[in-house]
Amino acid sequence: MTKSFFGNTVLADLDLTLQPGEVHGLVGENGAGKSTLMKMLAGVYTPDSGTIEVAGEQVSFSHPVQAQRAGVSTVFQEFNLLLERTIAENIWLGREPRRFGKAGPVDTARMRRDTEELLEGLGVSGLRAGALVRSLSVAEQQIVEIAKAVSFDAKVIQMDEPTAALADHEVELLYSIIRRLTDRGVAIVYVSHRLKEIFDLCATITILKDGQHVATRPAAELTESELVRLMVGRPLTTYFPEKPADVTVGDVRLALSGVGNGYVDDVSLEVRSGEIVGIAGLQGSGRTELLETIFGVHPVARGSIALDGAPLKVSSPRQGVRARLAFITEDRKAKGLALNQSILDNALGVVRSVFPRRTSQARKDMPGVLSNLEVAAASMGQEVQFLSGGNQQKVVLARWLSIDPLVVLMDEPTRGIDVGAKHRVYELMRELTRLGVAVLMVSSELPEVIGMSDRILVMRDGTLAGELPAGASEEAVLAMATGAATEGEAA
Amino acid sequence: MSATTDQIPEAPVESQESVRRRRAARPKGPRKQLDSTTLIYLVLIVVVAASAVLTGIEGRNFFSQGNVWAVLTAMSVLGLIAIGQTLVILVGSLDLSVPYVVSLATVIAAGGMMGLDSNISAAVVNTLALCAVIGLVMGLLVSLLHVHGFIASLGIGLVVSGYLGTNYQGSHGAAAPDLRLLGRSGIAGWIPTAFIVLLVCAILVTLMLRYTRLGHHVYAIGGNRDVARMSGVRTATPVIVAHVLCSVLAGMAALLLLSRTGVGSPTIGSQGRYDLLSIAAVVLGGTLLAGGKGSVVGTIGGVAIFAVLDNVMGVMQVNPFLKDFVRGLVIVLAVAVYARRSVVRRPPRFGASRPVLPVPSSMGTSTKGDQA
Repeated sequence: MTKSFFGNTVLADLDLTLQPGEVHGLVGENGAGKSTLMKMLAGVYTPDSGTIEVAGEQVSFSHPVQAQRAGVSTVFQEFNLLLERTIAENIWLGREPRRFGKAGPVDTARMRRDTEELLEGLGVSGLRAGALVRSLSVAEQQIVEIAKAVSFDAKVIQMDEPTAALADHEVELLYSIIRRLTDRGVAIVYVSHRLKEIFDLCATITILKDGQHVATRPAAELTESELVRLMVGRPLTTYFPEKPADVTVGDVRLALSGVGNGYVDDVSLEVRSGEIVGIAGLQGSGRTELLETIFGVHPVARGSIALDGAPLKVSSPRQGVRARLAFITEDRKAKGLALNQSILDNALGVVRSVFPRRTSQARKDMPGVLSNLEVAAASMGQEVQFLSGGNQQKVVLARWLSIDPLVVLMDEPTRGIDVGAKHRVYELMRELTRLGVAVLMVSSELPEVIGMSDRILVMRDGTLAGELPAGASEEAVLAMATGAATEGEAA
Repeated sequence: MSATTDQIPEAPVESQESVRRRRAARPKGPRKQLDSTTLIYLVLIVVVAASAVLTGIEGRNFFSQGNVWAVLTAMSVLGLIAIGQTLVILVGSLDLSVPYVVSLATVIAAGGMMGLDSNISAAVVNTLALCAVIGLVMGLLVSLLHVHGFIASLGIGLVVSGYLGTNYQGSHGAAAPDLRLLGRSGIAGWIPTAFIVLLVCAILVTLMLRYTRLGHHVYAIGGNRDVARMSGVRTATPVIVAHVLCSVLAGMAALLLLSRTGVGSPTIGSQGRYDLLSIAAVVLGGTLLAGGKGSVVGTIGGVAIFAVLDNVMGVMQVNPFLKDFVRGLVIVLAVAVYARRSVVRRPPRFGASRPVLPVPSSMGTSTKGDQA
């Protein structure tokens, strides 16, 4: 069975061949083109050029169902399950078996039987076909997704970060399922950030970087550090402003000790005034959740948080704002802005609702703040949905500057914005430190974390994996984030 | 290679202390929850018992032949409409046009019959066909033009209401004697025929939801339209069918009303407030207003609770405004209870509340035979 493919644009000229029974690892940094590749194979996107062959036959998909019928199934990172329906109903959705030919009633007994057979074939016991998907754990839902993929008589199954939401012992179960599938001759495309898994499972590894195919090698010929080097090895193109000389790192502003809840566990860290601390880690490692916990989105179940030495108890974002924490969210359009409102209304949003008495002052200051941030807009009455991503982000920054924050929590502050705006955001971060603000920044872009931070904290599986000094190498950060072995780099 | 990786000292070994803390903070296992249908029928039993007591205090018997007949009759009209509303809500839409469709159906049917038995079948067929067309229009608006059901049905409802207002003043036509006979007939003087019509429709719709692809797809689309589409479900058909059935069931409810009143009335539907009451009964019956979860059985339970409450308040001669007060309270309480029960949380990473899946002991060794 061959599958060749010559993609384009986000993904340029890629050849990929899968052998029956092979687990093929697909690695690369965030944005390297892994998802694009998977979506093309899954029939979500159509390739601009190139061909896909399954078992020697050329195929083309314009809908996921066509891909599945041709034998290519995909388990996406976000589950495609109906929570209020049973396992069986989810697996056979859209092709429920019927009695007495086409017009007959749905054969629920057969649906149940087939589901149980399918699960048994995967070596899973203890899942009832009639159980509601809502009642399942994440690992169990993952199994249902895989069973659904298998039920199409898949020859190729793609798995996107299948372990992202699983605990260690659950990963073992996934391994055993994958082994059973490969024993049957199914080829697996395995996408993961966790290098240990890649080496545990995969026979061949393909490395992508910035949409380019870097290499495809047998796993046996690679070491972890080599793999990391292949994934990263790119020139630093972004320019980061120098750390100004007149900034002095002051006292501890924000301190977490042993903070834990359902999302993060045992996190202890300190951010001093005038300091930028970067948090690196893989997607799903709990970075965003950590910021959300500090800000009051998730309750703190264990441990404590202190602000300027006094205990900080926030149980809602409103209280977070009252304590003068600012939170620049990852998803600007969903959580940061009211898209159909004006720049001014957005920029005043926080002050107005939390510190209403300061509103008139903030309104007077706002033109200065916005022009200082170099927001390019016709007027302050313009709706933010018509602004570029960079200008939108500047409006978000302006709204948080208006509360004179003590601590600024930034989640992916430069995601999806142009180089110029990026640079302005970096400069602003430096300006904030000059004012004694403590900055805690989460970013998936390693150069950004390394170039901007005074210290780098690395998260893995919801806990802090370690700390690295400013200017640490990308390899060191990635190794710590993936749990790979690199000698001498560990803090 | 992986074996060596495991032993790198950098990997923090979790301290006994943190494990203990984590365990201590682990929430207790999920409490066994009653499913909402069982809950609603338990509530119904309580309501019936309380009503029996209150009726007894008034010196009357709640379980007398006449009273049971009255309750079941009261259930049948709202019940039929609520079954249709259940379908529409399950598929993720909403129908606010039912009161106007009911009014229109009574005047069309009564006008067609003109008090003659010979006209009865033609009038019934015409009425239901007209209702089906109205439902079809709404279904097409919702599924193909992506107008939300709320707006589509509000608009169609206004159109129908405007038509009724300009063309009919006061009552119109007359029901055929056979139809009126049907309204008075029943089994053994306890169970009215209208209630049997309701039961048959409830059973048929339940079977459709459980045992046809269409029914499965109704739930799928209401649960998550994108998931349904990605699974190859044609998302328009179930939406259209749900709206057509809802309007047709409203038409049937109108015929039942006509069998009791004898004349068509252009305002009978809005007087009955069937739009909000049917939605309330559906929600009370445990169906998610957002769609994707619920059942006709639950809806019938919700309708029964309203009918029993109305009945006992009638017996006690409660002020009509207080009646509304009680109804409103019931709805709000029910929704609050359901909201508490079905809070969707992101599954926690730590302190997993469920036992771990059993890892098969015979991993790929003894069960090799299953490949055959």
